[in-house]
Amino acid sequence: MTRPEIEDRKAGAGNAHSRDRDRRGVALWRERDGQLWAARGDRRTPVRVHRCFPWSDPERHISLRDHNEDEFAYVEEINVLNESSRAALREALAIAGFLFEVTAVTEVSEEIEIRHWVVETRQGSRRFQTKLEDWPVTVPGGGLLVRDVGGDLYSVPDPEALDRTSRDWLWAYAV
Amino acid sequence: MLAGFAAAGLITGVSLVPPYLAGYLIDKIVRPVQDGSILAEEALETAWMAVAAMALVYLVREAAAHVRLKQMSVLDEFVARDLRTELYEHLQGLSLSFYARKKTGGLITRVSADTDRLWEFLAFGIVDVSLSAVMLVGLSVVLVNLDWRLGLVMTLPVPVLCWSIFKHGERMHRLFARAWRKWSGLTDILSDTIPGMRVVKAFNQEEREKRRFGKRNNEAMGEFNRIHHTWTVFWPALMLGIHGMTMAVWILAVPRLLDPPGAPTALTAGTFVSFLLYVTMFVQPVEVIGQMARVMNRATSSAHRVFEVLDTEPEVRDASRPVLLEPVQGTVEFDSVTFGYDGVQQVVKDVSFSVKPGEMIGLVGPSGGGKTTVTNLIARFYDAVGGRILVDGTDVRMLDTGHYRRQIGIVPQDPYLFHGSVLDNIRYGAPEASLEAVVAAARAANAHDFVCRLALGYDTVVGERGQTLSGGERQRVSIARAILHDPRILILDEATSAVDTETERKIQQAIGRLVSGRTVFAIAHRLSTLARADRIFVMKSGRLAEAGTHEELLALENGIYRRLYELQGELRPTV
Repeated sequence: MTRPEIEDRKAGAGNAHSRDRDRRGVALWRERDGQLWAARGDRRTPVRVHRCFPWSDPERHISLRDHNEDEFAYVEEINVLNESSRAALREALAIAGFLFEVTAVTEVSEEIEIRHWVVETRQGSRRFQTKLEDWPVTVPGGGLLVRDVGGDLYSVPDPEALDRTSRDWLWAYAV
Repeated sequence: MLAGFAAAGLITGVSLVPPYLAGYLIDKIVRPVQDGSILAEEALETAWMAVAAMALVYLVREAAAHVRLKQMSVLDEFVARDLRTELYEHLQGLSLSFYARKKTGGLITRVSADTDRLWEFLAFGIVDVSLSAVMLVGLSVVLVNLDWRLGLVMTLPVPVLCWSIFKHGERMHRLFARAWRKWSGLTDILSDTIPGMRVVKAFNQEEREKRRFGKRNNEAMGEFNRIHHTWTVFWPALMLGIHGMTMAVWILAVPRLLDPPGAPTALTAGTFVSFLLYVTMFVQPVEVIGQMARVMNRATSSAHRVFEVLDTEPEVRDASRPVLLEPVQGTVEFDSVTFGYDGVQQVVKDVSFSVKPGEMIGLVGPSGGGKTTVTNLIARFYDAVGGRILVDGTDVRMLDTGHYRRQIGIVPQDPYLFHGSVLDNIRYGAPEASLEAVVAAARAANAHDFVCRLALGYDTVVGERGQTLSGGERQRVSIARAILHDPRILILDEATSAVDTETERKIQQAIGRLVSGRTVFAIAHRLSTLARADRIFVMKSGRLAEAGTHEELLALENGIYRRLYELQGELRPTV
């Protein structure tokens, strides 16, 4: 029995979701264990989400990868998916790569090789570190993205909308 | 600039006032009050006015200093920026032959360190030296006016001081020229070995490179120490001379200070105090000129190096009224073309051929046969020294080079990726391309899959020269860049050399998509990679030795292509 067949049997619950499949593309749903599944044509498989442009365009261009890391489907626009697929993909994206939205910068300090950040995010207070040579990246639209040493992303969608203290901290490092 | 100079002039002028006021206070107020010739109450009002005038002088002086520092610093930052920009823009326009002659380290030094040294001199050197010279003249006049005997003691040796500073400057100029030559040698090693660190490590040459760097580092240090030795000897000697002049003033002044008042040679305490204060000021401009000789020589050496680049004319230049081919159709014709890189040895000799739009030409032949030079001439990196190269019937020397090159794509043997993201590198020739177009190009180049596997996908920074990617991956990014660029004429230079079979298959697939509908010149050593070629040109010793289809060339008895084909056939089973 091939791996996809095994996957298909395991994914019995997923059959119900084929009704929701967009005729042109892919249907997505999450199983009870939280695993994201995708179906396209007659094939369905568990997939892992991967942002192809995590800095330049984190909300679009999502590659759905099967267990061999081969691309099963490519979602250019999340909005073209039907509602349930869209919701499943958004949940998977949130789990796959933390993307914190920074609401304030409290402190930035430097040691020999590391820069320490203390920020407020929509998910609460966070402390993280970046390498000294890793500067925040300006993304299309004027927002900033900071990637910490662990790979988590911190987004500042509109640096000008932050309070004065935050802007002062960012001024030296990002703006 | 004028405001800065005016402020500096004002500083010089008002600086002469406080010593005069000090002498005035002593001789006209303090001493007369002490000997009872005027009342203390009367003197006090005048004294306060003198003190207030002194305060005003200091206020004006520092306000002018603020204007001067601000104006000159800001102005000179602009000058430095413009110089760096002009230098870099000029470098962009220079022909490849210039880069073949110059070392990277030396050029980087010219754009960064040399322009900085010029800035340092422009920011403070020119103004400081001119004002110090004015100050010296002004002080000489004031000193002679105060007391001509003592004044001459201080002013007569000034020409000797200036001459010694000039001679010192000449020596320093030679020393700096030598030191910067050694410094360039040091930076050349850095620019040579850091990009080639893999080769250094592969051949276990770290110790040798350390020794090579250490030797040049020592040489550079030796030259800079020689400079320090020269100026640290000269400077105290110069100051000793000035202090000797001050001692001569004391020796001549002391007996006169003790003369009874009214004696013809008597010197008042106030005049002498003023004199001494002016003498103190005398040291400063000499010091500035002495120090500036060193700064000026560094700047002169740097200016020489910067202007050497700026004065270099590009060898490939546009015609006065360049022709725009919109769009290039892709007909390429060589008409008795001859070329040599050094102007002596010809590497392409009397080559003629004609290629139709959309035709794919394979360039084969032994190394050194002139294949790469032919493609360099097509891209107009160099101009032919004999014959003509025609594109769509127009001589390439008549074309707008920038516009023409935008319609040429090159996939080199060792693709060069810039330090930046995969996205930036694919979009290098078409910065406005959408992300969708980038993904489509990457898919066509068989690059999308491996790019999406990278932690940051297309946003992954590939490092200097794309070191974080494998050779095959770099090549596929390079092909994606060429696909997005959408050239009419495409040059493939051994694009599949040095990759494994599977990668070669992927690259060949990508090339298959890339070449469609374009005029292509593909250099290849492995003849199997030229399966799609319409015709094959065999280059040997700079000449077009054979030309024809694969079948036509195989039919030639004792043909070079046939021999190559047979050789590779013999090799195949043993591999």
